[in-house]
Amino acid sequence: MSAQQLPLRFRISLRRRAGTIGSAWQQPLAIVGMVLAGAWILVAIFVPLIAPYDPLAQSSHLLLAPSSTHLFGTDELGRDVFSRVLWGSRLSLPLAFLLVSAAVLIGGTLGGIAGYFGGLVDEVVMRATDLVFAFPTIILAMAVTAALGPSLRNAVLAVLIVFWPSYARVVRGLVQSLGQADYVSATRLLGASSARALVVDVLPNVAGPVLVLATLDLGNAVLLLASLSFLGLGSQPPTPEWGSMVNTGTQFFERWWMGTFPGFAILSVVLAFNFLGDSLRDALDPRSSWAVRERKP
Amino acid sequence: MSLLELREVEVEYRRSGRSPVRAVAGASLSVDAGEVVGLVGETGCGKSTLARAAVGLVAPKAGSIWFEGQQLRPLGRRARSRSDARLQMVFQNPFSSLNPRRRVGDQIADAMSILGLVPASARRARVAELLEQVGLPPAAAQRFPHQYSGGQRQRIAIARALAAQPSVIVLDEPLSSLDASAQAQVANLLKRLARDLKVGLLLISHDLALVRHIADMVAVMYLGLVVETAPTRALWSVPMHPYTEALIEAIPRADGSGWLPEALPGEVPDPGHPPAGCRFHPRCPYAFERCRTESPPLVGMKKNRSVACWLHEPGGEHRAPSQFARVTRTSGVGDHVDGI
Amino acid sequence: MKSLLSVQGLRVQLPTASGLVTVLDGVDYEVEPGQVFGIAGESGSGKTISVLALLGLLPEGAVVEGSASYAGSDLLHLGRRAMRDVRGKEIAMVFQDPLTSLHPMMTVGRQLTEHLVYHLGLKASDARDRAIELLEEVRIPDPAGALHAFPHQFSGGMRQRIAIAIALACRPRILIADEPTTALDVTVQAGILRLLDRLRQQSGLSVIMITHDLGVMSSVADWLTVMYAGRIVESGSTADVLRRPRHPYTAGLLAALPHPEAAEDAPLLSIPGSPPSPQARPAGCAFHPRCQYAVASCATDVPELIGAGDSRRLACPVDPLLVRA
Repeated sequence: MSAQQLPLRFRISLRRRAGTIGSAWQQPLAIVGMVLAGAWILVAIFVPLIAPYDPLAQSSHLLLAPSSTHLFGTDELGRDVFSRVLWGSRLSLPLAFLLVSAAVLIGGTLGGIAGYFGGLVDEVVMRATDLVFAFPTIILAMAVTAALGPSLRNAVLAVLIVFWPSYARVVRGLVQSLGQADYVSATRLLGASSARALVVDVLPNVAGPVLVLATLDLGNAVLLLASLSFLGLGSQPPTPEWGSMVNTGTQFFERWWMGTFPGFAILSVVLAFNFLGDSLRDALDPRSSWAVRERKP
Repeated sequence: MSLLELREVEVEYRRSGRSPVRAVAGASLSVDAGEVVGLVGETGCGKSTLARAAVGLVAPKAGSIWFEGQQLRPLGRRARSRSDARLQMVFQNPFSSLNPRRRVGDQIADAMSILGLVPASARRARVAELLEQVGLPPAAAQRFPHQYSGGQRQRIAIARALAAQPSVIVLDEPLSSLDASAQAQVANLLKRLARDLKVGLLLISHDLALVRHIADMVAVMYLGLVVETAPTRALWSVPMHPYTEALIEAIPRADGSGWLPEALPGEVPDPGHPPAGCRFHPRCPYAFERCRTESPPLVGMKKNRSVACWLHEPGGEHRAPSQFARVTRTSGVGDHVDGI
Repeated sequence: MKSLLSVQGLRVQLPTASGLVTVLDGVDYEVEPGQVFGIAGESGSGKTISVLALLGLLPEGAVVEGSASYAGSDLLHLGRRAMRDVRGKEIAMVFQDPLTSLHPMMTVGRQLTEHLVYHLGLKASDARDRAIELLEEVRIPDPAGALHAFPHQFSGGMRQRIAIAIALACRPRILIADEPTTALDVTVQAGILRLLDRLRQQSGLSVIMITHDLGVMSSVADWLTVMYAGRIVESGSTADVLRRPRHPYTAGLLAALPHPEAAEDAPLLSIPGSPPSPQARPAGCAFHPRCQYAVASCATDVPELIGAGDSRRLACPVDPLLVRA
């Protein structure tokens, strides 16, 4: 049902919601998302200059509450929690970006091939994605990490395995539906090879939805990695990873600062990427499928 | 031989879980250089499917399609050959036939780069030339499709097809999504292109009145079959097939006379289960015994006309059914027809 | 004879991203009982908005001025409750695309009977009988079976007949049909037009027929009102307006039609340019940029819709097409 066929009252509200890129970025959540994400990225880059202490340096000042010398207090080995939280960003953020990029690349390529060729290739890829989807995300990630041996590297691998199928599905669907679009047929009729049609006509229109998914997934990646580390399957001590810090925090529950601050770090990063992803989705949403005035039904 | 020739083309498409449907059950027509052939028919007659087959987007189940003397290869994985690219198409929906993310000029220039027709240095000028030919300013090349109205987008699509230096263009309902002013403008453009550039046009449409103004030859389709072909003027003055007659009588006239157009009783049957014998016989006011059992072939009549109806003798006189045929049925209750 | 519906000075502004936009700019018309009142215009002319205003179906934030008197009350100022009683019972509407105006998940029978039960308080069995009667009136084959079927099981033409049956269920005095046949094939359209004609002759129903298709207008409408860019430019009896159009826009629309009687080789005459969107209406006469008869004053003065002899009304001071007797 095209916009033109709706009674006028619905057309008017659609017009108000589907903004241009400019207006979408003016939403409060988008701004919050951008500021937060930007702040954390800056922290991750400049942490050697910002962090007051070496995150691995133990001291005799054990389990101190937050004070002016130790903003977030110290942990059970006398290490400064504030520095450890800041250094944690150096671990979580780059790994999340790496993870999602790899998932997009692997999943997207497989999905694109499946959508393009169809037939047996499509079947194989789809059954592989079905296999992954059959398990709850965290359970599968845990199983893989446990099987490979608990380490940060294996945790990353596990999350990658769990993330790629979504992209495969999305890209496959888009390639299939866009491949049917009239403008793709038109290019083929002009003599374009299907490869050229894929690259020039289909892929640019695939990039948008994939980008939205990827941005949202950045938050998920951070969360999943942290969860695995929380369970002891990811990073191992003494690495200052937020998830494992929260884990330690649960063992020292009365020393609330040990678990709360890393927890807030995870929360703020995930929220930031979620807001960013939502704004991106709104910005890229039907901005050009808006009904044009000239249309004889 | 004509530039584009369809011989007994049949096209099938699959429905999930059900038997395949023969959307086109045998269509023959031809297009010559500079000739505009209108293919008319109502919903469900298979004309869009036939258009896609004529251009190679879907392979026919039976019959053959000949373009410039060679049999047309349907579009597959491999790139279309240069010679086949001289058979172009303009699609019905101007909103989905242009890539929303690419500039207009780039899309028009596609043919030039893919087919190597124009060197890179000369492309801008050629794009401007084409835009002018379809009545758009050269500055349009820098803009995006969504900045244009439906009628303007159709012109862009025509310019894109013209860039391939086609000898025949198939147009699938190019005017239906446009309002009256744009329709007239684009219709006039098409006529001019056929005349000046000697391009053959196969124009698919449900609007018989509009086709009358643009086409030299008209082919009428019903439920997957071509039932009549004739030069435009002859078709209008003496329609030979009862369905053609009914179509013409159903067009309202804007003359203020209060005349109500004639309705055709019954409904278009399911293409998957067409009636036995002549496909039109359940709704035909002149149907007799033979019509119920045998399907009439499309036979040639004098003066470049053909018709698929048992009322007419091959090569015989041209007569409209209402002039000579005996009415064998009148509408009754359940025909959902009024005032006949 | 007193008019059934009298619209005076109807002005509608709709909210958009850039503020309120005047979509309908002061419109007057009267609908008589038993009359088929035609409103013709292209997209952006405001023809649909004018009837949506009557039924209170405008979007949130719409600003409405003027009056629409029907049976002693002003439709534009009715409360919600009162409006609900009018809608469907006194004034009903049929839309262009029956696929989207019929509920896809409710059986045809249910859609028919819910009106009857709500407005007329009929018992379920009486409502069912009446529903079958209605389907017979609109010539749906096997009405009893159709009650249990869903809209998507019918063809476009049949769905439109069902929509008409639903609209007429409570015997309204006015039926508004907004482009009822535009999405249908021409042979199916002919059937619907004949149906409307028969229904109104049988029951004295008034029909407000909205369409851009002047051929359809000519077939069924008694009275023709031509709208352009939110204003009425010409009105009069259909026969008169179509045979002797006096406003340049009306004449242009007629000339752009492929006339079955005209020579086939003549190119279709089109009005240059295209209708303005509501935000970009020209000053003065909205049609003047496209009008070949425009004079200097057309760019500044908004033409009044005034009587031009013989119950014709015209909004063009130049009146270039007046054939002097």
